[in-house]
Amino acid sequence: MNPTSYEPASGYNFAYLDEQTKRMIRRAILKAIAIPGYQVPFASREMPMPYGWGTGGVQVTAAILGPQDVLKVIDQGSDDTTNAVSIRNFFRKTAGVAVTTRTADASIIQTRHRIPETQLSAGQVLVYQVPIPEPLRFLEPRETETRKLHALGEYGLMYVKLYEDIARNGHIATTYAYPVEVAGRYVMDPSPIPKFDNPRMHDMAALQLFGAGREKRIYAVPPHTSVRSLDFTDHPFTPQVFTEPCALCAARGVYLDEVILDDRGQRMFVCSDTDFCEERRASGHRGHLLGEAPAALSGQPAQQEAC
Amino acid sequence: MYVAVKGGEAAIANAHRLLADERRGDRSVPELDVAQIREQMSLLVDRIMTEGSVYDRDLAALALKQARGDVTEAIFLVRAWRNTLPRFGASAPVDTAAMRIRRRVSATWKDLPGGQVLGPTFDYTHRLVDFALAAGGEPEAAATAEPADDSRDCPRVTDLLDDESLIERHDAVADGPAPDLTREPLAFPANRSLRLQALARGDEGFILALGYSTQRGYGRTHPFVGEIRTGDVEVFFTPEELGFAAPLGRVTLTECQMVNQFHGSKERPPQFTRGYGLAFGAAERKAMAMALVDRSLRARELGEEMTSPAQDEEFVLAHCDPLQATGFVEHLKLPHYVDFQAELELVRGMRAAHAARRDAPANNETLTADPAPAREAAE
Amino acid sequence: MTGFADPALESQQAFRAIMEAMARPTSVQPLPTGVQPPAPLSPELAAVILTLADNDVALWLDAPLRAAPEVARYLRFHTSAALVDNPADADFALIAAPEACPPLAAFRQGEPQFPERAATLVLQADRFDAPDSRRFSGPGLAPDARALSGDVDAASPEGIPPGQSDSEKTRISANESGVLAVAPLPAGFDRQITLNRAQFPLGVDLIFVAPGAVSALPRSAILEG
Repeated sequence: MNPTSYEPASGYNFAYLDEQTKRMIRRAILKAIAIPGYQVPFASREMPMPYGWGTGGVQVTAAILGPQDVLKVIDQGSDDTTNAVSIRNFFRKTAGVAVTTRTADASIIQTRHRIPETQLSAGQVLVYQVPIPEPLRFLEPRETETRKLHALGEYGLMYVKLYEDIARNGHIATTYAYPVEVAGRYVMDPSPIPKFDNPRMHDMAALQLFGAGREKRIYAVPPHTSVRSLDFTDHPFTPQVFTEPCALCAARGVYLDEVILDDRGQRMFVCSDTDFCEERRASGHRGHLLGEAPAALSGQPAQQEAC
Repeated sequence: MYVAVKGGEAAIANAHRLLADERRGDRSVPELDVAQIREQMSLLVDRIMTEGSVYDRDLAALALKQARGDVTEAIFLVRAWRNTLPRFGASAPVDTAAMRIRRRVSATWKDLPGGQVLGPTFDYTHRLVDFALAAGGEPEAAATAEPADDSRDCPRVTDLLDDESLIERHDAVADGPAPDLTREPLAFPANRSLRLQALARGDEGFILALGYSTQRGYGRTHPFVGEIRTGDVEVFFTPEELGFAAPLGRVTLTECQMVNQFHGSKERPPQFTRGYGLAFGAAERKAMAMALVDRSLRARELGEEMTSPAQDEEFVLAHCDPLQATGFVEHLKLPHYVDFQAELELVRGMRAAHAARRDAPANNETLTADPAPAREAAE
Repeated sequence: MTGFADPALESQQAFRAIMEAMARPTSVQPLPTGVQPPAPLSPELAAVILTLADNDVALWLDAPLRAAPEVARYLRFHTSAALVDNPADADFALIAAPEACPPLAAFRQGEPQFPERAATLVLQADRFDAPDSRRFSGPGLAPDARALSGDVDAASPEGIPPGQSDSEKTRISANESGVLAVAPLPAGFDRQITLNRAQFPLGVDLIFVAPGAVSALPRSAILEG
């Protein structure tokens, strides 16, 4: 990837934020890295997109992004969901950076709700958009209380909640935003990724940064850091397992989206990570429904399946 | 066959084009210009300036036009623009005692130095739709008053009470430098300056409802409107390089001082306490509601029993911002299908387990760790 | 006596180097800079401070930096940051003579509910390839770093930009060895850094600069052996 020329949208600083705001965010990022899993308060700004739509991730990305970077933005694992398109365009316009959909080509990946299937490497930064950064929030709504619990490392409340799940359902009924313990100290909300993705946060080669704009928190998991999903010895953490492969690229062991095909209950399961799926198909992998899939999903008209 | 829609750039661009078209409305109707909005929708402009934290009538009017009259959306535009401005520092506190009064009423005294000035108010109007207005036409010219000679003749009611030590003093110096909510994250417990900032930026409807709740027994504080005043004040700023305060210009403000009963404590004799509200422009409802909520949020400081939402600093401050609230509520329309997929499989698994239990022999009474976790998978 | 010629781009570049350094403790990241601060402030130390400081933070200068009034003038002009006399009041401490650095405990350590309120010390070292080295573990360092460090020169000052090629990736792994070979260091460093880690999540964070490069030891780093 060649560095692109720096031609920001007129009237705004490079990557939209003013330098003072970037410095404030950068200081918060450094502290977040130094205290893995701890939520650093930061003076989140109003961004030109609404709170809850990725303003935290956008501010983190804007504070680290440079002209040399290649940016990838995904939502639900996909590069072409509307909000991902909108955020990618925002940075293309305000920072003039190169953008990509290929995971391996990106130096910064901003994500909502997924970790890319392709293993990330050192030198890459994964920026998560976070709606509710406080893992204890739904157990204790008060910030003054949750802050004390984190200071004391007192996470009994969370274990009680998980245990009640087991008593009621026979298993832990949390399927996404499944709490993790980082570097043996802080319990952290991994953002609403499916728990399928949790194990991939552990010992990841890439730096993971988390931005919550409305809640004004930044936190981080440095590379190669222990990330443990909370569980019990007699009820170990179990990620979701899909029994069938992707209908388009035949991948197994990946997270699948269910797509309803008609009003008679016909459905298919396809990769949530569209880039991963497309690359597999490009290298010849073929799922059992590739020929019949709607063009919007397969990226090719169904009848051209023969080529 | 239903085809899952992918969000293309073209789709977004077309949606925004359509939005602009709808904003314009019927093109045979003359377009509103910003000056018309600024002059004829001025209370709405004031609200956008207040919650948007920018004093700029033209900008607020333009935002309202761009937002098709959606107030929250207009506040959003104004705030996002404000964010990109350099911050030079904080102005000197404005002196509302020196306000050029346009309206000033007190509910605590029949008459008082400076008098009661009704000014332009909806109070005492009969809310009858004026169908003649639809036909247009110019209203008669306003009656002219004798020019208010000297603002010193219009002292603040709270200053009058203070002469008798009947009301608490407010020591602004003890508060230290004013914090800036837009530059520092909110930390709890917040000091009063920070709370007032949050309330000033807070959603008028939310603050109004909270203030109302204190009147209905949820954190009662026995309020009286000591004074409401609307008018112009001069803003001064001291640049480092100048070393003295230079006037920046005049702004219109509405200030409300609620006077509330206080029973006293071991350390303090009974006296009146203050609830304070301030808003840009003519924004009486907001200033009054803010003053009620400010006072009720002082419950902890004044040793009052805390039982109600309006006394709960975290509850009020964490939820009063219109942009935070609207953003997070509206984000629910973004795709959530990854998480929903996880829930879908969980519920399917639990239903299957439930069915298996139901169909199993009746002696299976104990709640066992069923195989559902393994079934949290697509089939 | 110049600062950044292009503040937006140069501070971004410097920040990424600092961020990488903090995320991969002991790794040595390149920090090219064109700033020309007054002596004894080094260009790298100046670049770090210009990147991170403004009128929202307080700086503390060590004796050699305080002895040169043009340093204070330079920092005030380029950052507008307040200069404080008491180490405990500083967000950032600038240390031109690490061997004479006040005890780490003299700086702000953070609060149990707000550990991020701890100070960051920026120490101006001479080199990242000193013969005297120590090994660290902890977040940011691969559990198998010990194995990796055997076959590479861990103290190589060549940092690695966010790169894509396999050879670069290998070198990044080598840079994750956990070996810190910086000199000079504050007196009694091993004992001090161990005590600093013992109070985690409180404690100060250290950034080291040397000609052309930056490295860091966040409070999470654990001194081995």
